[in-house]
Amino acid sequence: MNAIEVENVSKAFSGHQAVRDLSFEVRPGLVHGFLGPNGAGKTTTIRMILRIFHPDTGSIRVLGETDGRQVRNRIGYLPEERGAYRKMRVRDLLRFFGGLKDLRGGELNRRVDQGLELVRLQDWGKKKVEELSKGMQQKVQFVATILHDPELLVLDEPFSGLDPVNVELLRDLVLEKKRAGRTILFSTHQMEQVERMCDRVLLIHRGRKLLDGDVGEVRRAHGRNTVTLEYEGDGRRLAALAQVESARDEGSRFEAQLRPEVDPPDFLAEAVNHVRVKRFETAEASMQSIFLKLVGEERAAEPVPQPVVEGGVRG
Amino acid sequence: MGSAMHVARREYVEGVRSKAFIIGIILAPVIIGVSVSVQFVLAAKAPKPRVLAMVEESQFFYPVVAQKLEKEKDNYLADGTRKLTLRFEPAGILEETKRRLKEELDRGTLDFFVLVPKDLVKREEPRIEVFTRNAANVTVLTDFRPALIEAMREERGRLASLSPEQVKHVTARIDFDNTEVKRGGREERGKKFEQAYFSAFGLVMLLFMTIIGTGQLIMSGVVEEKGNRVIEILLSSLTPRELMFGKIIGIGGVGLTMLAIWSAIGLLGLRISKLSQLVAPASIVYLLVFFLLGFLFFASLMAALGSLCNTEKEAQQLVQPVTLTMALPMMALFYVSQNPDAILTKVLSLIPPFTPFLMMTRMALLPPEPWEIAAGIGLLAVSIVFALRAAARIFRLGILMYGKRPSLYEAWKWARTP
Repeated sequence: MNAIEVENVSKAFSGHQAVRDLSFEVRPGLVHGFLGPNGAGKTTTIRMILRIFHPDTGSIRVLGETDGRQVRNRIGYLPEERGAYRKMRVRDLLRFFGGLKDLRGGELNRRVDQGLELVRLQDWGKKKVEELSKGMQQKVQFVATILHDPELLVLDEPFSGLDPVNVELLRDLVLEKKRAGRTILFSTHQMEQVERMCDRVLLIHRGRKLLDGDVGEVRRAHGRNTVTLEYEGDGRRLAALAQVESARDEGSRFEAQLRPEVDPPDFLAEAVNHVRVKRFETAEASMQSIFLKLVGEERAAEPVPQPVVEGGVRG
Repeated sequence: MGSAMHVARREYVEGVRSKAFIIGIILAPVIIGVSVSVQFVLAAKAPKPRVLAMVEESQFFYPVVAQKLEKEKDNYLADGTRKLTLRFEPAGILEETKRRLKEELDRGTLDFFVLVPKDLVKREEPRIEVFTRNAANVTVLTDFRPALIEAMREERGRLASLSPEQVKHVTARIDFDNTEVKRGGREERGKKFEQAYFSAFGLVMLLFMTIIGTGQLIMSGVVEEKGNRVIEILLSSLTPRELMFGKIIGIGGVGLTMLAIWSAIGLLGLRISKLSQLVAPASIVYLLVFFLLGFLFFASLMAALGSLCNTEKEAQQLVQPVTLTMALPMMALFYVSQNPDAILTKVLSLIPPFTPFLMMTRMALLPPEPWEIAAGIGLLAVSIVFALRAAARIFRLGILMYGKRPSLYEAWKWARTP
């Protein structure tokens, strides 16, 4: 049984089509990366999964149930824009959120303590939320999300705004959940997180699905003719070569999608005439380049989007 | 319902712990206490002794009035000094005398001078002129005036060959003692209208402040949850309806607690100052009942309006007309207390948003008929049911709506969509 099954779901807000005919599944026990440019409909989709909105058409099954009330204690949700009651003490806040998931008494206290220890905030329980730094508040929020040890974690951009140390900490916590057999769906703009953490990936754009599948397979499928080279010299000369279909130049690292008929070694032979090559490899495409390529193609194919009608809900 | 109670518990605990609550608890009695004691202090504190010059051709009225004032207890302060001291001033050349006395007014060595005409006793419409720098000072003349009137009456009596006793007999004033007859024929003696009015006014002010205060609390709470997006976490765990009812129950509890504490302090204070007759214990029960009803009505409005707003500022603008409407009965308060039995009073106090305040006022003055109370509460209860239902519908949609604030017309449409 899949953790989430989304079938032909559409949702519009006062004339703006946020999600169109979207279908995908989230497999149990795996980490799913949910990608898409800003305004693609990720948050709207997540909110529908959480039953904050209902889809206009289509159906959503979460943990086998269509009625959200049955499963709300089995889901942990970290919203994109994190906030908390600023005047509340950290422990009281966590106890409140835990209570919403029907945790009570000693069990609740135990889990709150455990959770604070997990994110190394055990000494901050008595402080008011507003006394914490933004990163700390974010960690408290994460604790609130996993307090009731949910089977399914839905995280809306969990890593945004965290310093590298805390990103590392949070990633370990998420992966620990995966090892414990939990299912994780998280949206992000950080492609390297997807490459490092995710088993599967889902990419949407303007409310439509562009890509869905195993991260490894996706990268291999898009990476047949991808080469990266590290170089010294003028990368623009490489990008101008006839063998190159599309390229991304980072100044000392060059990643290119070659034309289907080109053999990578032939390209290398040509490249050395233009720059000093320090390293060359044929590689799987990075999620970054797949994202830019797919979204870029879509953007080119579609007309300029109309502005969102006023009074709409942010998706 | 479990989730609603969970929300209610948080709202209650956080509400009662908040600085605003503690400040409110302490501040209100302090403000009331201070304003009462200021009155006492002002009343006890000696107004500065005043000097009045009686301008007459010869000492005709002056000695009589001065003697009467000397005997008048009210003209003495606690320390035995006189509030008003009289001085005789021969009229002489009147314009010259006036000019001189005006200079004295300017220097502050004199507070009043009065011109007593020679023929005052004979005039059909006796009239004297009072000169002072500040017309508000004339309250000091409360004892001077009757003394002069009495002196004139005695003089007229003498002219008509009546003895002072006969004059006194003829001109005796009638004292009016008020007795309020309560339902069932119980008599309550000696309660002055002012006392009744002020105790009613005090209770209604308390009711008004608590309802407005807690309503605002609901609204700012909703705006806060919307602003910091806690709302999403909440809505992934409970329904908007549960959230709204939870908030209303919790903050209603905060209001009740505040009123209960104030009432206890107030009753104790009245007992200590031996003014217990001012507020009947039953009034406190009605206070709590009318708070609950008024709060439920107002709170549902505030929850709905709060859900439409993105910022506290937006919310304040939106709430202003509502607060003003709530203040209407406060403006009608004086009329109602003067005419507790008028048709207009009865009609006004049956209008649901006005009922708590006006019924409360009437309860303290002239209790309405039981059927009126029942009808008022009944109508209010029905409107509360409608208000809560409409509010829940608006809340459900408004709470997730960011960007431009939906118009009230849109909200009205939502309220009618089940």
